[in-house]
Amino acid sequence: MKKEQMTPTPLVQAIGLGSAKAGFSHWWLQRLTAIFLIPLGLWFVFSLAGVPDYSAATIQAWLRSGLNAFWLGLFAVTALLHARLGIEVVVEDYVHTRWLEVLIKTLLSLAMASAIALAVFSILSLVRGA
Amino acid sequence: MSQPQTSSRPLSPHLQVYKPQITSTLSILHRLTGLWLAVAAAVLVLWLYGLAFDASLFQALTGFFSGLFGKVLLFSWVLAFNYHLCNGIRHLFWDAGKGFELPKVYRSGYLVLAASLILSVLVWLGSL
Repeated sequence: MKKEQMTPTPLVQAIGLGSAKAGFSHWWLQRLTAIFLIPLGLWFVFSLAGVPDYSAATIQAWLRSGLNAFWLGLFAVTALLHARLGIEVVVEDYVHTRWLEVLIKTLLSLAMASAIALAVFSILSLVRGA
Repeated sequence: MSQPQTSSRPLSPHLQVYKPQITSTLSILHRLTGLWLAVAAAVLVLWLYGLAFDASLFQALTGFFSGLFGKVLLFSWVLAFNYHLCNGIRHLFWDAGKGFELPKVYRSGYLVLAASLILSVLVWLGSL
């Protein structure tokens, strides 16, 4: 085939741009949180399934025993971070209007940061018995 | 950066006429369960916030999730969690470059389905 007849590929535009830069740390953090969530998630699901009932008193007692509050906090933060990274990839894949993509990712960051703060704050005050 | 090529060339695959296979079905299921679990995470945060600061919110959540519909939602989150966990481990193996041969992809797919069902039954038994 003659060169003129070949369809230009996106590779032409990508050559010379360098490495994936921040893309790698996003990918890596998604894998790291995934690995942490294997034991943390299993612990969370089986612990919560195992409590005798879901009254406020029972859950508070469960939180205050041993390191449960610590593990729950670690699980919540890791899970919310992992969720943020995952939803970002889905948004990048399916939202093709640039300003909308940036807007959704901005709101997502805000929501996830708030959720992390709220979870940690709630767990801390539950442990302290406020 | 320049936009991706916008041409009228057809995109592949045509999902409307694409025969569903276990490979593609499990792949989209990984995303759907991930999104569904993000909803569960939001409810978990609300539940913890209610327990710490808002008794009426906590009561409302407890009431809702002790009903039949609430329990179905909870169990769907258990199923989604176990599937996403098992299929996530499958993805980690792929990231390490292992298990890409087609027979292995099919075998690990069925293994993931079986393991997530078994895990979900175990969680259900543990909650009794």
